[in-house]
Amino acid sequence: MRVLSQAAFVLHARPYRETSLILEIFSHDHGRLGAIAKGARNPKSRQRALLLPFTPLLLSWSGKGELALLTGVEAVGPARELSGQNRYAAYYLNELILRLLHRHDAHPELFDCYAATLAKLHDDDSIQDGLRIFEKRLLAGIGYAMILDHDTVSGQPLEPERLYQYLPERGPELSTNNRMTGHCLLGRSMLELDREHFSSARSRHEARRLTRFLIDKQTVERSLRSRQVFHQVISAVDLPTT
Amino acid sequence: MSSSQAIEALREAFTRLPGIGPKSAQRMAYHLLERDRNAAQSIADALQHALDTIKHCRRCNNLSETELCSLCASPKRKHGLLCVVETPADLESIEMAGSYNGCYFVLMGAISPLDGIGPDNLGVDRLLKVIDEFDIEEIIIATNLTAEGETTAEFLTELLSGRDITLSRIARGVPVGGELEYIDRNTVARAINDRQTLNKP
Repeated sequence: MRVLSQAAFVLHARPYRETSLILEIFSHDHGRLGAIAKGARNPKSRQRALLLPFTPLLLSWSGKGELALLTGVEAVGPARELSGQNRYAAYYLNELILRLLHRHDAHPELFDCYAATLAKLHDDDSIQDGLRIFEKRLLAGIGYAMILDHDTVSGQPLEPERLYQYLPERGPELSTNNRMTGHCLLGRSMLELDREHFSSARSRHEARRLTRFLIDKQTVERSLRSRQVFHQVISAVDLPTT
Repeated sequence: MSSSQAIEALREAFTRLPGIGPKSAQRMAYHLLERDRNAAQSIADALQHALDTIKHCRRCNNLSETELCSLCASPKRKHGLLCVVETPADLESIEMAGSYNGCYFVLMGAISPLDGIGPDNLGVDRLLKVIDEFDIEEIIIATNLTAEGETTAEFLTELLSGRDITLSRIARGVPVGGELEYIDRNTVARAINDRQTLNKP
C-alpha cells in the first residue's frame, strides 16, 4: 500500500540502527501508525530537521503491517516552536493518542481537533480549555463518550445549580448525601464542557477533574509518563505559562 | 527454540543490546560458541573488566576509570567553563572538533516526557553540586537540537538563570559549506531567527 502526501504529525521519534529513526505517526486518514525513516539521522539527510513533533507535515509511506517505510516528508507552513508549560501540554496530548488510540484506526475528526489544539498551544495562553475539549473528543473517539446533558437515572436534563455525581461507565446522577461513590460536580460544569465553552474558574476546575478521572480509568495499568515528568519539572523550576 | 538453557540465556542477553532482535542475537550466540571461542572469552573478560573499573567521573559525570577523568584533571582546560551535553558520544564530537578547551558535564540522556525520563532521571542534582563546588562562571548548553534536547535546554535555562553564571546555547542554522537553496525549511527559519548582529550603529 502506498500513501502519498498525507496530513500527519510525528508523535514520537526514537533512534534506530546507525542512521534511522522509528516514528510514531498520527495521520488524518490512517490514524496512528509506526514507520521507519531510513537514513534520517544521516548527516546528509534533509528529513531529520522536519521530523519533529508538534509540526504539521505531509508524509508519504509505503507498506503495511507493523512498520511502514517513510518515503517522503514535506513541511506545511513555517516551523514554530513550543515552550514553557505548553510544550508539556503538547507532550501530554501525544501520550494520550499513543496510549489510547489503536494503530490503523482512522480518527479524522480527532486529528483535526489535535491540529487545532496544537495551533492554540502555539499562540494562545488559555491552554486548559483546549486540553479539555481534546480530552472529551478523544474519549468519545475511543467509545467512551461522556454523558454531559442528562441525569442517567431520571433521564431529566442536567440542572446547572445542582450537584451530581459522575459514575464511570454510567454517567451523571443526582447526588444524594448517603451515597458518594462517584465524582461530584455541578451540573453547570458538565453542561459547559458539553458546549465546549467555560464561564467560570469552578467549571474549568471541575471539568478538568472529571476528564482526568475518566482518562485515568482508561490508562489504569500505568499512570501517564508525561504528567509525571511535568511534575518533576515544575517542582524544580517555574515554567512560564506561555 | 534452542536446545540448551545456556544458549537461550546468551541469546536473551544479546537482545538487550540496542538494535539487536532475536534473529541477530541467535546468530551472534552461535557464531561465538561455534566459530570463535577465543573472541567469546575476550568479550567476556573485557566486559567484566569494564564493569569492575568504570564509574562516573565525580566532576563531569562521564564514564571514567578514575575518580576524576583525564579531561577534568587536566591543568590545560578552563575549569570555570562548562559545556553540558547529553551523552559521552556528544562530548567526543566536540573534542574531535578541537575548538573547545573548557570542561564538560554529561547528563547521560535528555528529558523525554513520552519515555518517562525527567530531570530526576538525569544527572541534574549532580550538575548543581558541580556548579557550586567548582566555581563555574559560564555554561554552554549543548544538548541536541531535537525535541528532547530543546526541552532539556529550556529546563536547564530555567533552572540556572537565577544564578550568577553566563548561560549560552550552541548555535543552530546553516551548516558549514551549506547552500540555502538545498537546506530544509525548519533550519532556514531558525537560521533567520537566530541571526547574528555584525555591527552596532
